[in-house]
Amino acid sequence: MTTPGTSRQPMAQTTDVSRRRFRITLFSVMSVQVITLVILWLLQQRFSA
Amino acid sequence: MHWLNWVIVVGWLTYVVIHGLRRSTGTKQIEGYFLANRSLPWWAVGLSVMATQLSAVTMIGTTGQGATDGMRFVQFYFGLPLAMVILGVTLVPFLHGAKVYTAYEYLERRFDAKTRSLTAFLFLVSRGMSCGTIIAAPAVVFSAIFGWPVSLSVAVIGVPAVLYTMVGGVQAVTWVDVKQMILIVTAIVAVTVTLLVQIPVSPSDALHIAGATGRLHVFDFSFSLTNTYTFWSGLIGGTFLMLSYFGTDQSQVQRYLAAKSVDEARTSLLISAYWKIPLQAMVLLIGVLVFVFYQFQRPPLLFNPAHEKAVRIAQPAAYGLLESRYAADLVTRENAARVVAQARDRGDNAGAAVAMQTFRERDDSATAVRTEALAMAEKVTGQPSKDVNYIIPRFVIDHLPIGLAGLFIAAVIAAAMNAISGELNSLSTTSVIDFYRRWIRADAPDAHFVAVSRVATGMWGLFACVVATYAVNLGSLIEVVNRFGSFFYGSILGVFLLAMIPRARAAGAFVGLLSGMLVVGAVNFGRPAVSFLWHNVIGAVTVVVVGLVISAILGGGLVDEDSSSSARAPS
Repeated sequence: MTTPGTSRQPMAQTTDVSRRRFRITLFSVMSVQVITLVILWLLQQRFSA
Repeated sequence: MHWLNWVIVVGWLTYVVIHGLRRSTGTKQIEGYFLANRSLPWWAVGLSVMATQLSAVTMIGTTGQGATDGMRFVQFYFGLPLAMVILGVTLVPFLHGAKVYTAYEYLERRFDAKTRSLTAFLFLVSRGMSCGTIIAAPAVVFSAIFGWPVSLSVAVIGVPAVLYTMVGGVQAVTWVDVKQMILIVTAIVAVTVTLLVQIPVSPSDALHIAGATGRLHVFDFSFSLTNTYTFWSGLIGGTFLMLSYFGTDQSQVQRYLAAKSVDEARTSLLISAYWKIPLQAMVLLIGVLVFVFYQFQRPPLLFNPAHEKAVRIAQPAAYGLLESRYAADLVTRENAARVVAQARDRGDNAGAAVAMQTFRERDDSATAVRTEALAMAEKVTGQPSKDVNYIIPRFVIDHLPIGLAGLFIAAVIAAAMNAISGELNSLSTTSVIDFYRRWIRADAPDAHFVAVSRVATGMWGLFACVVATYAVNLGSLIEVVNRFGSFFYGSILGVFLLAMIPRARAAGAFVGLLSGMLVVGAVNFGRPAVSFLWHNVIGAVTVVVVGLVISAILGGGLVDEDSSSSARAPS
């Protein structure tokens, strides 16, 4: 059972988890974009006459 | 169409409608109906954001654009990830923290009622119209496939979406979006694989053939205000467009307002940023592969069957002559394409280069004949031809295997329903929250507002269906949708940017908004060659500059400290 004194802890952890998830997602989003642009660039260089 | 395709389409439609209706629990309160009690997980919101923007226009218009114009359209989305990151650290915390139902509601807290009402009104006009064009896109498919009247096609697509949106609110919309996104991505991957299997040359040869016609030329680094599809237009103009769309358009804002927390709202936007460019590139690649496919299968001279029929009746001799020339070009083009592949297979680069030159010449000649046929169709029918929207539907009907055709058509309908449902839900929310509850009846039980919202959803659905019936011939649907928005988007973004500047005042915001729209209107009519992507930049910058100047001239006093501080302090 959660007591009033301890109920703040899980909430704080949830926020930390969310923020960490946001940072990880941000990093991976940018990585995916860079990889995609590089693939498109290679596609253009390799196949466009 | 084969009965199995029908089973897939009807089965999927039935499933999503039932699923949407079952998700209507907890929608008796207004917060439940409009914001799912702010309880949705980030991944569901992220998929829903993606689904709302991935409409049938993408499935039909963008693939067609890939077939005729190649991959360069993907540059249009280069600003999207950047916009999502900017929004994640600026507007999203403001809007989510303000605990509002609509983005425009926030503007009244920060500025005044007339700024809120004007921006909300502009949203209703532009989104209401674009909602119609989004229904029109799959209606084109249905008309082409089954020969149904456009109005019937519109009803078949619009009614199920309106039904579950009316009953289930944002909760039904979001969870149906999640299911439909899975179907859409499955269909895109399946069609890509099928095309690669059906093309009678290796994937490498196929890409060389596409590349020879410039269809794999993605990047254009020239700086031009008149060319929509350049790197800089996409990055700068695209960023402003996406900031406006995802930051101020209620159809998007409402998705992340329903998230559990600010962090989950921001993460959901980034999920959308993740896949937009890769997915868009894949959709365009389908079009490119369809182009390659038609090097080895004879395509129709006109993809629009109605126009083809009309031209055959009106000018049989002239059209017959064009068909003969086209057929001759196609034969020599196909031979050249096969020689290219054979020469490359045996490592004969010189032979491949010569064959490639012949291939290009024949392709140019075939394209010229098609241009003549399109002009003839326009003259005969009195309608803009825009054959681009019929390329993929014809390919699906004529060449996809049984089952996969049904899957693709179900995905097109799913995409349309996603976009429609999200927009109807947001149109209803804005109508009720920003107008009905604000100006007509402020105090009423939640049940009353939910009932009014359901009626509003139905009315907007009807309006969208009427617009869709007449929007079919407006031209390349994808451009039409974006053009509608570009008249207002940038200026509305400018108002939200002003809202984050403490010295901005209500009068400055309102005059700035009007100035922004006037300037964009003047640019649009005075310099029509300027690409609509730049309208967003021009509108936003004008609003901010004019707004700050007016605010400086008038000084303080128009915003009280409470509203100002609440706007600056998101929780």
